[in-house]
Amino acid sequence: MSNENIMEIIKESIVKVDKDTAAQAVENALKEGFGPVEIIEKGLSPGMQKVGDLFERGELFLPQVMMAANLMTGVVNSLQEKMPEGQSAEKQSVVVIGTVEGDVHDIGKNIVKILLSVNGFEVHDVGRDALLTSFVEKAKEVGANIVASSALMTGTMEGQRELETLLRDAGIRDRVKTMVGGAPATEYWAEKIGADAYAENASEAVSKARELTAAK
Amino acid sequence: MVKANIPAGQEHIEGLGLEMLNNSDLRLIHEATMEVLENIGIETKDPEALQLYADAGCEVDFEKGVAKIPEYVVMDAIRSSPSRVRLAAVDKKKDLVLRSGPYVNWAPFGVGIEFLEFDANGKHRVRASTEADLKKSMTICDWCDGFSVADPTIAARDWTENGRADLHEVSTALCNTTKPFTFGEPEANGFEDYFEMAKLVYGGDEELARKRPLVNVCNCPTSPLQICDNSTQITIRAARNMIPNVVISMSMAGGTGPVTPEGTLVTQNAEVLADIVLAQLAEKGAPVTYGTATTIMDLRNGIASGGAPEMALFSAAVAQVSRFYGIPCGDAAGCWTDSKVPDAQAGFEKGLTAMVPALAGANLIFGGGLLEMGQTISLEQLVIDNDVIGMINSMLKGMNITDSRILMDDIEEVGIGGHFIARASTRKAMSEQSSPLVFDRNMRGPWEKKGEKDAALVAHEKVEWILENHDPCGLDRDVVKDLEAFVARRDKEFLK
Repeated sequence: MSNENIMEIIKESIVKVDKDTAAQAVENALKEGFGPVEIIEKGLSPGMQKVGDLFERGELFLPQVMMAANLMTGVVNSLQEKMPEGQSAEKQSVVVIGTVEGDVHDIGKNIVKILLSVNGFEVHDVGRDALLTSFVEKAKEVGANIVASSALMTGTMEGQRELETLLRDAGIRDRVKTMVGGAPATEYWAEKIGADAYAENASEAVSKARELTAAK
Repeated sequence: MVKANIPAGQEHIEGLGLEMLNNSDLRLIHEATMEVLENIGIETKDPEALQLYADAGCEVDFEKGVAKIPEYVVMDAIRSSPSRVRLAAVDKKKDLVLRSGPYVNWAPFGVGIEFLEFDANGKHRVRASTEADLKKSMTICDWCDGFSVADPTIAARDWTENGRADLHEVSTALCNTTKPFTFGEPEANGFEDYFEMAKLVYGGDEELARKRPLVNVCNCPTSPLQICDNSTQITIRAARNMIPNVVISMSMAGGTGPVTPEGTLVTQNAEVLADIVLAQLAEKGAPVTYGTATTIMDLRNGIASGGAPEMALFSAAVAQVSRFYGIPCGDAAGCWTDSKVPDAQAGFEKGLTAMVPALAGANLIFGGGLLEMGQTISLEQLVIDNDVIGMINSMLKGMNITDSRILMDDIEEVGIGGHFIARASTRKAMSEQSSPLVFDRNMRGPWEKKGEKDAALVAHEKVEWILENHDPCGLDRDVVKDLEAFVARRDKEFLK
């Protein structure tokens, strides 16, 4: 079995959400001498990338994307156990995401979260109705590159503005990029409150996040 | 004049109707719902709500915030919920009594956050809605015969940072319609203010303000199976003040509910009933209605669809489920669309999603003026939807086959050839005919002469005319001033 072939099989197993094939192929790859990091970077990640592209094109539906992401996470976790001390996959851009204080609507935020992780971002979710300070603390703790906040209500979107102030007060605003989303948010709103980007939907959130981290 | 309580054909009532679910379907839905409430329960973080559930005999985990509600508690609540809920209006003659039978009424949508501006050339652009937009929308809803209520359709977003947006909305509603309305985005801690404003309308008469509440409220559980603090508090305070409270589940099949409509019908039923139970525990006999904006989450893009045929099925099912419980059904989603502009997609989706719940006899169907699944409101669409509603009301009448309606005398007298146009019976029954305002029934020639306008453009002209000619205010000038002063005071406090 050629090297490309085995990585191709791993990649396709993620796209097809084929758990058995994924497990078998990863085991074979390890036997053939591939390292865990190589398997993640050349097999699993390109698989998720393809899932993201197919979703974008409307060929895959959300449930398929989520199941692929779950499979990917499971396989990565099992590979991490086998990783030698100190070794890790290439550091990904880190996103802290949450639905702002007072707002319990989080399904949109959850979809953005999944699509970001599918596309190679390390995502930390502070949840819904999340204290604005918890965004800041989490961002400090994990060394976030992006802080993304969501709001569905006109009354709670003010939290997105306050978050900008809190990040400034904490002295980390120049180290992170900020993104806003949710029904009442707009490009204009992002501009007005000084956020770095606005995304209308989950796919756009991914491309905006890529732009933001490429510019860093 | 508003046409209220148009009967859809059910049981012994004349007219056209449909019953999608039979009795054993309804029993099955009920039993599955009781299973969910008893074994999984409902989550709320509100200690007052949890205590009410616990005192009634529910198994409550205060730490996790979960109440498991046994069937007898649910059944007690259903029994104490009234079968008729009166929505009081500034003009008493326009009160709407929602009855738990197959009687259909219509409401505009609330609450959108964007406003579609339309110009005389049919060009449009969308922007954040303002108090001025809301005033116009109230005026249109007050004028349109199709709407029995004139709910505020859009948020006064020019006030969200500068004052008490909620009070601006309530005040604009009170001053710009004599029909009843439900305020779609109440704040639990705004209740005293809403009451004070109603009192101002009644010239300070506190008793009347309690007896005939003017600011009806609405709240939505969070699917699946949660009720947030603001919602529980709205429910508790509305109940204790006997203010009509519309409970609307907005579950999304495939996202926040099971993917099958049947499964989501059960979870949304559990959510609404848990909220209604809370209302009845707070105050026995509290006026509540059973609403729905449940639809599917489109699994291609993760967005709730407002024009999906499944949404119409949910509303039709809820009309039956709520009737099964003897609780009025309102507001049920219908006349909805995913379209961004008043176009072919909007017309088709709205017509279909309005028709099905109407045939099922939903008591208050809301969706007028809505575009883009409720994000955007258009005044032109309000006027177009008024026509959609009028046509559906005509169809709900069905045919009433009796000797007197067959008009045998006329048939004999006119005989072969001739015509019925000048008959006394024809003149008498003229107004029974459907008669849309903006849908054009001319042949091509006259239509061309009038400028070849499509429905949206004709609607735009009608909007301009209504805004120019209709005064919706039913209050004395002094009362309007009092309301404005009250809101201005609260704005000042807000900014402090």
